[in-house]
Amino acid sequence: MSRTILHVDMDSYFASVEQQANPRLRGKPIVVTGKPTIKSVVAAASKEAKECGVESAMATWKAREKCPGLILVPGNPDRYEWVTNKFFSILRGYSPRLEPFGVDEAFIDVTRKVEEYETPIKMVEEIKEKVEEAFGGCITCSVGIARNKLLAKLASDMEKPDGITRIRDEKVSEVLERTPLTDLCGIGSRTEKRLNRMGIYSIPELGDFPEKELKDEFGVDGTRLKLMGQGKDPSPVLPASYEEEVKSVGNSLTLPDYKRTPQKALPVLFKLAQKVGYRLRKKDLVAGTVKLTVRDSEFNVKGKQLTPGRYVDDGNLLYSTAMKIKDKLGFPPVPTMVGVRASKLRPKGTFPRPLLPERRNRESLLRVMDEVNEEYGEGTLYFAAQSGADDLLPSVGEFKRPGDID
Amino acid sequence: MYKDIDQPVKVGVKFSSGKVKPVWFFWRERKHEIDEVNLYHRSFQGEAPLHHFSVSVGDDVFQLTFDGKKLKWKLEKLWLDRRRKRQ
Repeated sequence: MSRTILHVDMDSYFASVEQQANPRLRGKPIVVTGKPTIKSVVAAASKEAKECGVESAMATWKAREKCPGLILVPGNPDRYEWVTNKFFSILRGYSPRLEPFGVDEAFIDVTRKVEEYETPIKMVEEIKEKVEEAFGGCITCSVGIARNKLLAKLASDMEKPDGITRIRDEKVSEVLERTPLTDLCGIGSRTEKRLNRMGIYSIPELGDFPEKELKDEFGVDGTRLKLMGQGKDPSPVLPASYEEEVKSVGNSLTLPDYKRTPQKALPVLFKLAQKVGYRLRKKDLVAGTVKLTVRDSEFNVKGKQLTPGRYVDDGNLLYSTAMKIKDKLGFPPVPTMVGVRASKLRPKGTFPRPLLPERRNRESLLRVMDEVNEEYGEGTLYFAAQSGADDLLPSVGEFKRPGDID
Repeated sequence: MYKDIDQPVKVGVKFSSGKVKPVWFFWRERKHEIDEVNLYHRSFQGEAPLHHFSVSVGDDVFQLTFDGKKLKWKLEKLWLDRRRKRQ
């Protein structure tokens, strides 16, 4: 059975959200930046700014040079996070098989749902109406419809903004013939150069090229490239919950203003690590890798991961590993978000019980603490190192929401 | 550019279909009738849920915020055009 996959991509996302919030910005060239300073860079440009040649990641001084009437708007991450969550919840109304692809785009497998509609286009028109109803007319999306993720993504880029493009099965070869190699998601300019050196200049040439030679050059990716050249992509649409449950467990918190110093943020991080540890224990999982994520006042997010040396489900070990990462990564003077994530998860039952008495005691302690906190409420028992964060009550705000890191 | 105001205000709201919609607010001894709620979003400051409403009053754009823990409204921001700055 042929699949129907949508790729939904919000147009000029951050800038459109700001134009929706503020009618005085509509129809004008605007860019969303960290802070409206000359040192900042463009996080997103409105379509009017793009028409002047302004691009994402461009320095704001250069963007102003290109577009003298440009308006700089400081970014509002909370606002974008809210709109993204709402956007994804609209899409989940059509299929639970939704795979976020960044903050403003997602793949959805609507193979079953689409049968309820006369055509896939009708369904997409309904989605667009719902997006407009939820946010207003400034926030639009471009949608690609095809039999797999590769082609759906290609299709959504073909008509922007506010477009709907369907690549029908019988038109795939024709579309691929006129599409440059780098329009395929996954082929950047460096890969293109390597392909060119092999004598491959077009997508059909890539599809016809011997797989063995591609594998010699690109390793396991050679097979994927060959399939891409043929317009094939067997990868499933993986719902976020799948990744969350199976691959990692994490918690993050946007810090309130009064916690935005390294000294005050660290107890919060400790508390987040305890929360992650508890969630691992509840799932009977242990983690082989810990990732620390921090966001500074300029909107920049830094993250790094490290292996604790053994598989862990103890918040203190997650925290001490995060501290080692902090020492390597550095910590911003004004942290605005901190997060810790545990990945490389394994079922705890596949490991033997610890032999050393101190480790056994530690396990018993954590088990008792978990039981007390479940019985009498989260935060009834906690480690003293968390006391700097005890004004952020448990089970409220971000602490309650699972998997909200990155 | 947005100017931070951060002042408590009185706000009149309408409850309809499970949603709250601000319809006016008092600021600087003047009642401002809201023409349009342009965008709503929610965030958290620590434990407190903050409900943000970007609203238009004539040509002016304001951001009102309701603190779900303190149960208080404040006028958070006002948009100022460069050409027509106002206090």
